[in-house]
Amino acid sequence: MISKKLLILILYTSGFNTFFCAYAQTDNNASIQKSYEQSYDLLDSCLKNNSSFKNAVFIAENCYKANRYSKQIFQGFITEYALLCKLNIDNITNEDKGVDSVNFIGNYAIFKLLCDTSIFINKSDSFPTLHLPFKYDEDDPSAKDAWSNMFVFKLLLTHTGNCHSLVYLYKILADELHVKCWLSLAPNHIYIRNYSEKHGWYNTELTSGTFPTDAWIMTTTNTPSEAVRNGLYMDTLSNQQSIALCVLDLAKGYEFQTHNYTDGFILKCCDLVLKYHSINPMALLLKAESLKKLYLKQHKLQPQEAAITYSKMSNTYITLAKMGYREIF
Amino acid sequence: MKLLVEIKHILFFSAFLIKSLFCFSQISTPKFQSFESIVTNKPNSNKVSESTNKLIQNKEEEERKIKSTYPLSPKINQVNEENVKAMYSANSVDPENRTDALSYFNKSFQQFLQINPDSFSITKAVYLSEMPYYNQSYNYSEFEKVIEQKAQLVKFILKQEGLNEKSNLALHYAIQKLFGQLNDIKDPVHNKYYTVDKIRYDFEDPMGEHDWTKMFVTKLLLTNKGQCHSLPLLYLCISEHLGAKAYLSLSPNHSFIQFFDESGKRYNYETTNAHLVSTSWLMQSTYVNSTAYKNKIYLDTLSSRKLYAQCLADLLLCYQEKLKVNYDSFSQSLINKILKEDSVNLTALMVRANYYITTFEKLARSKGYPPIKEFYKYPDLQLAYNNAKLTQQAIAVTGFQEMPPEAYNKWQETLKDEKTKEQEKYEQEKMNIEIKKLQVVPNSLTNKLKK
Repeated sequence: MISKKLLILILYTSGFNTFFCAYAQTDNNASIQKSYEQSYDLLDSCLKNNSSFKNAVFIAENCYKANRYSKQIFQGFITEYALLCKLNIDNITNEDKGVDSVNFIGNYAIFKLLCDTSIFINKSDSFPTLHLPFKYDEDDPSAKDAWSNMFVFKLLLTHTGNCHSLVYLYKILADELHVKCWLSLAPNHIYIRNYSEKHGWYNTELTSGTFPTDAWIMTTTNTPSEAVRNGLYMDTLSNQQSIALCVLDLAKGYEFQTHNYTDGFILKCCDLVLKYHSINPMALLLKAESLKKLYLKQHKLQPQEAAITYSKMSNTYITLAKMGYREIF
Repeated sequence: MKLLVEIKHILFFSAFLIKSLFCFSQISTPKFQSFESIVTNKPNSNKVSESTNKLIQNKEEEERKIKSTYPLSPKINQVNEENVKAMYSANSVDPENRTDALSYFNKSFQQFLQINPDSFSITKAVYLSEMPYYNQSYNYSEFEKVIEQKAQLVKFILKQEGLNEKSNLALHYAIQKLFGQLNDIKDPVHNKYYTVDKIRYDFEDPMGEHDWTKMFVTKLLLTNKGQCHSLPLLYLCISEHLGAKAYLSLSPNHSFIQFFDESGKRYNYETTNAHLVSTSWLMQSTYVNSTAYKNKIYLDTLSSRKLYAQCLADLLLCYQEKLKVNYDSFSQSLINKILKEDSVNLTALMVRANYYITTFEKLARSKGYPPIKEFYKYPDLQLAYNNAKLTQQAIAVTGFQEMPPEAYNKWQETLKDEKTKEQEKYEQEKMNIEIKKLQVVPNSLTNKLKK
């Protein structure tokens, strides 16, 4: 049964990947704006209801692709991988049925699926299926060529991704398996934090498939210690705050497609993010940068409004600086 | 969580002493590989009698039983009374001396209570926390006098270097010279140079496993050697006498100094290897996780109140060690006072949690280890279980967590090398001092000849 499903997956992979590539920039601005507004409203209600992270991710990604992604395919992938994770869990003999232990093993199963080669044997015909680990996308890891390189959908289709998509997929699978994990931010990076009563806090780094210490993350990502103390970085994000990250992704997608900072959509997204996660460093930064562009546009023609924008902008920058944000040199 | 259970560990963990300096071991950059971190291996008892063998077997069985029954604390039964007795047999207290010792501790505690936690003399507090262990065989003025001498040395250094005595940074610079290097100090009376040995790290039993006094400032003053508990406290005492502002800062099983320069920049000074170190290095080498860091449990300056609580915590551990008590009314009142001043003092939280876990374990044993679901049948057991869980949670909330065992083992391996290196260095420095003495003689001769 599994092998059949996997075959279908592979077909999807080859077919859809080429199918979707050609789109994106062809649509006119008005329809883009309309679809972004719709997605914004959907995400807003997601945030209000604290609904599933999976949906929020799909909404943000689908919007960038002009709603050409199929929810069924997305859901199909997730169900399939969740099933494989469950098989991974079953392979581990565990006598301890405590909540903590089940949680720990669930996390391990997801990690193993994403970062390790797994062989699943079909019980009925003992036909082995091989699942290779997801690879780090070395061609465009920071999604400079196309914003869609950040996407979970792209990760599912091509089996290559970056810290952003891998971590999102991890969180989605964890939600499917009812296993606890938290997203955590570092400068230009995102990773998973886990807690087990037995072992305490530990980090899961999916890009390299390791469990680094906090100090390692701090040094490699150049996180200022003040920022950690203020909770700007390396703190756990709640489900709502994780959904807020999707709103930010939506804003980034909009920025990528339209380069329009001044019509207020990006600012609206940032404000929504900040409503649920008041010290999201990326939202603060994007807001400040957008306000700067807005100010530059306004300062000759509308001096009064420009003054207000300026004070808003400087306030945002000051908040960031006070929280310990520093640009990496 | 398992560490909370072992009484052996309690003392050391909470004292920030055990494994104290693994700072040095875990360094990724070779530059900072420093001396400290040596743990002398505790000599294992050579002969194991049959009876103890049986005991061990029984224990293992029991342990297995508990592990399968309670997720709470897998190693509970190691804290039985035999273990405690065996551990303390080396220096136990006679029952007659007990009341005397208790009175010294009581006296010290009373004096602590009279101190204002918001503004107090750290020298006095250190004296009060150590004096009862020595049965009050020396008085405060003696103790203070030695500190005063050290402060005087710092003043000499400042004068020689032409630095302002009122500058905070200059004072810190000069104090650090006492720790970091040999100093040639000019005696103004005899107009002669003396080489003052630096304050060194003591590689013998730095965790006080065999001798509790190894972690005392008093011992440091007597021998000029200390470890990560006594060295920072001495730094604080000296800076207090000079009017410099320094702060104690904690990391797991370790303590060091923090201070600020005129522009407000924060410096971490590692007294055990006499280096200014970065925050991320400290985080890495002592395994601070970001939750504990964010909660300001570690690597933050201790406020006056927290420092006061820390000194009381030292007194608490000292008391438990001296009188071989696990937990009694006196330690209870000490813990209450500590937690009143600093509700997240880990030492106090751990001692308290260990007590409740031991109590729970004893009760559970007496009831034949019933499964958790049947606890409601035994109200006292249920209460003990709840208490144990609550006190453990109080620690978990702070973000405290044990260092991974693999990392600890790796660190221990590096210790031996560091010790031999330091010893070689010590020999070299000793020789240099002697050579300098020889150099003085021809100089004075030539001076005379010129005359």
